[in-house]
Amino acid sequence: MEERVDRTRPERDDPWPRMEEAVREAIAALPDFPGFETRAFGELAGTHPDVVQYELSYTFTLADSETAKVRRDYVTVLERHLPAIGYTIHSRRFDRDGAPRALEAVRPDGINLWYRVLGLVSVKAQTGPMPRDPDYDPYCPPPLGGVTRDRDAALDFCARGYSGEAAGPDPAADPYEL
Amino acid sequence: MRIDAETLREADFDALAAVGEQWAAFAAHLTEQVEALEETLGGGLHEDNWDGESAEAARDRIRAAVAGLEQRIGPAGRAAAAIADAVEDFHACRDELEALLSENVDLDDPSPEDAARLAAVLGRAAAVDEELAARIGLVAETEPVGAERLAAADPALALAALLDSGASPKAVNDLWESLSGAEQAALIEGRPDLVGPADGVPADARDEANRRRLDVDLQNLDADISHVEQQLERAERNGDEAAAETLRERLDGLTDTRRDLGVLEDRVDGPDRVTGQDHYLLDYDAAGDGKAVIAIGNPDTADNTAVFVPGTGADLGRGGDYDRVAAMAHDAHEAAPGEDTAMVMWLGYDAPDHPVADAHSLSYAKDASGDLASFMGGLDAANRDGEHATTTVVGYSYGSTVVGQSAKDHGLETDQIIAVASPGMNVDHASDLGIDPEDVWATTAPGDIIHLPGVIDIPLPNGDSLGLGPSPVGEDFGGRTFDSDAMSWNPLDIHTNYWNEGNAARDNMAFIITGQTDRVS
Amino acid sequence: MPRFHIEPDEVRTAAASIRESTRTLRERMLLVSEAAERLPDGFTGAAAVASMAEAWAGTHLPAHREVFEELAGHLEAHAEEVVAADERSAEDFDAHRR
Repeated sequence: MEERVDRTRPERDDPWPRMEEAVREAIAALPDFPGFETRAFGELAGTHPDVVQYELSYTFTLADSETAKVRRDYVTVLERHLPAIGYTIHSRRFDRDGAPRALEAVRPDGINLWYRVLGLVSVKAQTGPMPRDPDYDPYCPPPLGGVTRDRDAALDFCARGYSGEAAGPDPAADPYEL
Repeated sequence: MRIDAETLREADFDALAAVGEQWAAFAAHLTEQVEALEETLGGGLHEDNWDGESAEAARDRIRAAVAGLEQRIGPAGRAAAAIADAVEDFHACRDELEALLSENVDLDDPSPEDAARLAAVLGRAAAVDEELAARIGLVAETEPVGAERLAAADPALALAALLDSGASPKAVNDLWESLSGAEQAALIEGRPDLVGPADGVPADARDEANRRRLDVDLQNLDADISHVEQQLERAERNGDEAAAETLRERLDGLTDTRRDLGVLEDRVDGPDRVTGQDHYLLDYDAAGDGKAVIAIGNPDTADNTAVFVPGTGADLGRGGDYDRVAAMAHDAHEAAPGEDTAMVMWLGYDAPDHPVADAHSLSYAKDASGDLASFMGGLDAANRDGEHATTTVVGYSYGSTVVGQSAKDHGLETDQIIAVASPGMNVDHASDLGIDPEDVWATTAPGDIIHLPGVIDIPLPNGDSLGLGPSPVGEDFGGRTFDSDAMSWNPLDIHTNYWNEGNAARDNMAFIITGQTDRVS
Repeated sequence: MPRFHIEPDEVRTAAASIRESTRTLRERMLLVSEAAERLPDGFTGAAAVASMAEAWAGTHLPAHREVFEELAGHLEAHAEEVVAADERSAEDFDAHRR
C-alpha cells in the first residue's frame, strides 16, 4: 500500500469516482435504459462541522419517470441485481397504494445506492459520514446517461477534469489514465 | 489615458488637493447641519411643542429629508479620501520622474533601460489616475440629470422614511406597488442599498438591487485591496514593520471578505441546472460572519415556498448550508415536478459559532427573531397568489430555536413549520407557534435528543431558562412527527455529535413542503 | 400676537434654521465647485472629480435644498395658520367677555 500521496493523481480517498461507479453498476443492469436528464453533486451537512457526507444524484426525465418501466420494473430488476454484485439491501419503502417509493442498498466500501421513486425518479449514491477535507478539490468525472452540460449541476463542485465540452476530456489531462 | 512626462511634471496637484480638502470640509459641514437639524427635531419641533397628526407627518418628512442629506456625507468623505490618496501618489510619481530626469536622461531618445524606467513611472501615474477616476465614479452619481432624477428623489425619501420608521413589510409593499415602473427602476438603480434589503419589496427587484450592491462592494473591495497592497509595499520598502503589520492584518480582513462575497456571487450566478430555476439574492451583509438570503426560484410566484433557517456555525463561507438548500430544492422538484417550489436559504442572523459556549444562550435567537418575522412578512406581502401558495419554514438545529422564538414573539407568516434536529424551540407547545399544531412537524435523531452537550432546562429567576425548551418531537408538544432513519445502513463508525436526518426524512420534508402531507410516513 | 401658547414661534424658528442651512449648504458647495474649476488637464481622474462637483452642485444639492425650502415654507405656513386661529379665538373670547 502506498504511503505517500501522489498529487498528480486524484486523491485515493476521493469518493466521487466510486459513487459514479455505483450508479454505473446499477444502470448496467437496467434493460432499455433511456438515459438521465440531470446530475448533481453536493454535501449533505449534518450537525458536526468537521464531518461531511457527499451525494451524487441523477434524475430521469419527467416523461421517463412516469413510465411503469422506470417506476416499477427497474426496482424489481435492482432487487435481484444489486445483491448479486455484492450490495446489501437495507431499505424498501412503499407508497400507501403499495407502489415502490425507494430501494436502498449499500456496497462493502460504504457507498449507499438509493433508487428513489417520487414524481421524478432518481438514482443517488451517497457516502457515509467522512472527515471533512477542507482541501477537497475533486476531478469532475464525465456524467453517465448522456447528461448535457447545461443540466449538469455537478460541474459547480469541481474545478478540473471533465468540463462538459462536446469533444470530451483531454486525454492528456485524464486522471484515470495510467 | 496615457500620461506623458510633461503632463506629470507640470500638473498642478495642489489644485487637485484643494478640491479634496473642500470635499472634506463639505462632509464636515454636512455633519454639522445634520446634527443641527436633528437638534431642531428634538427641540423646537419636538412633539412636546408641536403635536398632532400633521406635526408628526411633518417631522417624518423632515427626518426623511435629513436622512437624505446624511447619505451624502459618506460619498463626500470618500471623494476627499480618494483625492488625498491620489495627490500623495501623484507627488511620489513626480518625485521619481524628477529623480530620473536629474540623471540627464534624454526624454526624446532614451536608452532602452531609461525608457523602461520612464514607462514604469508613467505607468504608475496612469494607474493612480485610473484608480482616482474609479473611486470617484463610485460615489459621484453623475448620471444624466433632469426631471426624472428629481422625481426619483421623492420615492427614495418616502421609502427611506418608511424604513426608518419601522413600517411593516405590507406598508413597504404598498409604497412599492404605488410607484411607476420608471420610479421603481430609478430606485433600484439609484438606491439599491435601500431596495435590496427591504422586506416587502418584490423578489425580482430585491435581487436586481442586491446584485448591484454586490458589484459595487466587490469593486470597492478590489480598489481598497489594491490600495492597501500599495501601502504595504511602501511600508515594507521603508522598513516600517509596525505599519506593515497593521496593513497586513487589514489586507487579510479585506481579502477574507472579498473571498466570501466572491463565493456569494458564484452561488447566485446562472440558474440551478437541475430545476432550471433562477437564483434570487434577497439580501446579504458582508460584516461579521456574513449574512445571506438566497432563493432558488422566485418565492413571489412559486406554488410552494420553503424558507430554511440553518443552525449553529452557519456562515457564508461553508458550502454545507447552501448545498443543503439546493438538495431540498431538488427534492421538492422531484416530489412535485409539475409545480414550482422556491427554496430560500435564510442566513439572516449571526449564528452562534460554538455549539457549547454560545448555543445555550437565547440572545441569538431573540436578536434574530424580529428579522425572520419581518422577512416572512415581506414574502407574504409580495406574494402574487398568497391564497394558493403553500409556505413552510424549516428550522435546522439551532435554527429551529430561532424559528420558535420568532413565532412566539412576533408570529410568523407561514402555513407550516418543520423542526429538524431541534434542541428546543423555546415554546412549550406547538400551539404557541401561532399556527395549527397539525401544521407543525418535527423530526430528530433516533433514540434521544440532538447532540448538543449539556442541554438542560433550568428555569432562571428572570423568566428565561437555561435551556431551549421541550423537544418538539415529544408527545406533549402537540405537533406531528415524521420518520428519520439516519444512516441505518452505514457500516462505518458514526462520529459522536454527528447526525444527518436521512433519506426517508428528506422524502417526508419534500412532501410537506409541496403540500402532499397525506404521503408523509 | 398669540395669546395662548408660544408654539408658532418655535415652528418659525425651526423654519428659519432650515432655510439658513440651505443657504450655507449652497455656499459650501460653491467652494467645491470653484476649486474644481482649476483642475489640471490631461487626467481622467481629475475629469471625474470635476464631473462629480458639477453633478452635486448642479443637481443633487439643489434637489436637497428644494426639499428643505418646501418644508420650511410649510412650517411657516403652519405657524401663520396657528397665529391666525389664535387671533380669531382671542377675538371670540374678548367678544364673549364683553
